[in-house]
Amino acid sequence: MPVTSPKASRVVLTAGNAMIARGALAAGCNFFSGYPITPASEIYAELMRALPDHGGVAVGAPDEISALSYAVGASLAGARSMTATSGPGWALMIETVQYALMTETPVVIVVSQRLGPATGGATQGAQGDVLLVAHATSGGYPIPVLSPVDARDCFELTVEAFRQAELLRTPVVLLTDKETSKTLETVDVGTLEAATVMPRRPAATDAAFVPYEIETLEDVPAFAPVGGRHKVTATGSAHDADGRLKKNDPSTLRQLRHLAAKVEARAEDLECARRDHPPGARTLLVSYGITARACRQAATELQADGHPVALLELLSLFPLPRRTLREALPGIERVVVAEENADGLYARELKPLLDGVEVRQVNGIGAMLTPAQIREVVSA
Amino acid sequence: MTAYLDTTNGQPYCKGCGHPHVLDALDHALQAAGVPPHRIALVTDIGCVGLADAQFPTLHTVHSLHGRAAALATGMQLAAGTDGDEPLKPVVLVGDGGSTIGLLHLVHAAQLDVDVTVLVHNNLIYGMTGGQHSGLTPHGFRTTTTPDGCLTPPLDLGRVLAGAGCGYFARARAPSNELGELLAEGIRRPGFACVEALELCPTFAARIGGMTGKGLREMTSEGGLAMGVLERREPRAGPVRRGNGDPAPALFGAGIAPEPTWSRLQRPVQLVVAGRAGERVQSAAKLAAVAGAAAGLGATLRTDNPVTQGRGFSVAELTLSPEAVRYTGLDRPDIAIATAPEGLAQLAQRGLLAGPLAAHRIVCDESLEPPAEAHVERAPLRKRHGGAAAALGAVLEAVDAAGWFDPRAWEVAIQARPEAQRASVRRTLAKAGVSVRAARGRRSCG
Repeated sequence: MPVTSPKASRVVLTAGNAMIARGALAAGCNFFSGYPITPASEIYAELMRALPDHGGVAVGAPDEISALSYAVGASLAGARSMTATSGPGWALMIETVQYALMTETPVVIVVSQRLGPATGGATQGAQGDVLLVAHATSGGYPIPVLSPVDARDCFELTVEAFRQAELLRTPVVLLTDKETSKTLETVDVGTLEAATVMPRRPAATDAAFVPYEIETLEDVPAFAPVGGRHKVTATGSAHDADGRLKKNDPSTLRQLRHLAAKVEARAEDLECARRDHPPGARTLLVSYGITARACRQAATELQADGHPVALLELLSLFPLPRRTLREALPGIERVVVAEENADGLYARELKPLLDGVEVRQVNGIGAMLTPAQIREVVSA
Repeated sequence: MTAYLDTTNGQPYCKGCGHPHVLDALDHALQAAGVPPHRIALVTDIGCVGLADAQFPTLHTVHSLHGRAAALATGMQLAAGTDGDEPLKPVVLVGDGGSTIGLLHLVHAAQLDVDVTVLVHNNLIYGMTGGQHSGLTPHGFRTTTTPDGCLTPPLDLGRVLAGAGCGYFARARAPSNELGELLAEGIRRPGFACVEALELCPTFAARIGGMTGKGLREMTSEGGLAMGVLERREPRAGPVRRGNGDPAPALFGAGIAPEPTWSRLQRPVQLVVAGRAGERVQSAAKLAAVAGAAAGLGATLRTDNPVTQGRGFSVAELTLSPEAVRYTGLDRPDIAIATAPEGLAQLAQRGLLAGPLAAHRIVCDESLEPPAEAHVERAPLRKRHGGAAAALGAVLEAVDAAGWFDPRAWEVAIQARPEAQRASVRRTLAKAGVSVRAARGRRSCG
């Protein structure tokens, strides 16, 4: 993988957080609300500085509940909005995440992980929030989760997070970690693809507007902003297609099933991954976030020693990577899942999809997993 | 003028409840303020107050989470911009309970002076959940959760918000002649307004607390709660808005066009520099990272310092690689440098001075005392370059000696620095004996 391409190379030394902020701008983000927290704070500062020049509004909030509430309020008015936090801030946001989900309001939430629980270690990286972000709703409704491996991914997956949020009208999490957020890295920005700005499907101007109208369960309702000509009814209470509060009416239960169905129906289109399957590889190394880089190194070293290993870097974690695994598993006898948490949190989710192959794990907290630790488990 | 309030089926409140009077006043105020209906947004909190949504069938209604109505309205208003000349005018309907749990949202909306009007339905208790006391319940008042009387004095929202720079605060009873007018003034004001309506909950405040209409009047008469307009200030500027209509600025700076012939590295190399906060340790490593990039190398730079960023140690871990850097952590670094005792301690803590992880080459300032078992080169780094440039000087010397890239790459990295910094970096470069003018056909390690 050469660092530079022959044409239009423009290399910058930048950090994941800066690339997330730029990715948001590229995706047409025009509202950001933030509250300081290590290791996500640079995204807040960067967008407070840059967003006004891009025609947007950025505002500091007095806590994370306010930060996400501002972003959701802005999205209800039609803005493409984002906030950024870490595990402790996400914990405060969970009620409002569910509100965004229930009201079908797109919003992107960056969660840069640090060692938990509670205050944990503010400057110690970790991958311990993966289940906390995915399983944050009463009823287990799906929240798409994307996860960058390096600074370039931070840009591209922020654009993708906006695409998914607007396409599905639902909150999307960009789950990163202290190391990916804060490590400076060379990126050839001359070779970044231009981002396409994904518009929310607008309500027809000439027809009566029913705020949560769907024909099939999988449909995503058309959108009208608060402040526009269509009368909007939005509510976090269980509601029918008109937004009327009806707790267990069949029309309401259909709307609730739809909240899951619209994501599940598109699940395979939401998957993002990078993989490499050298000839003869019988072991598949699966990882995400910062640990995927240690896996890359371990796979390179194993290959050099004459032990080819297949590599799967998951760039989307939820919905679960069913299609990706279907493509990656033929010929594989053993899967090694590596992640920086104590017991293998994401491995729990993957195991039911790995029937018939041996599963091993590499886990640990308090330091990045090393290529040596991964090699050891692969070779054991 | 059209009435927005639909009472075809009456109002959904208990007999004697103050809420219908508040909604009557709101309907009057919305009409009097002259806001086009599509630019009004009613944002309602949880509780009986939230039943108002259905009463205003032609207006935008957003039913929030408990306590968060003002926060949703704030984001909505800031993002909505104007339609023609018409800003969005959110009106937040919240009770004394919602004002308690969401107090900070009211405070911050007042601080921002965002164009949101908050209408507090203060009936002294939480109604829908069964008559519990709130932050606004009067001292000594009996509720289902204060059988011996409320222990705490009531929050005076007017005084709390005045302390937050509130632009408009008014208080009135419901029903009263003033309420609608005060509310209309609040809605018209191009900034934050809060109107507190004091009213009766017949089911809980009356039945359990013994509150009556007369009691409310006594509470709000001479010597009791101050009534009428209590705060009225000039609007303040909101968040910065600019660039609308102008082409958006470029996302990235010019960047560097790398010159891949400037390095013949065959494998990743690593350098750790550790010193004292404020002595430009991380900045020195950053210069080497950018220079490496100029020579076509991939670079990663991890930095570490105590949470108090201006004191204690500062460490930078640089990896340069002929390919994109895979693993960003240390793996027996090629070079480790300590310029101050704080930095030396960090190298020791990382196991880089001796043992299986020891760096291949260790350089430290002559003033430091590394452990006896470490193979360390001592050099007058601080004497030669001064404390603030010791890290930079040491990095320049060590990288140049290692021959990782053509020294012309330093000049490219210096050009990428702000102009004010360039001269001092060039001076350090000269003191370090690095010539950037011509390639010297150096060996490349690795």
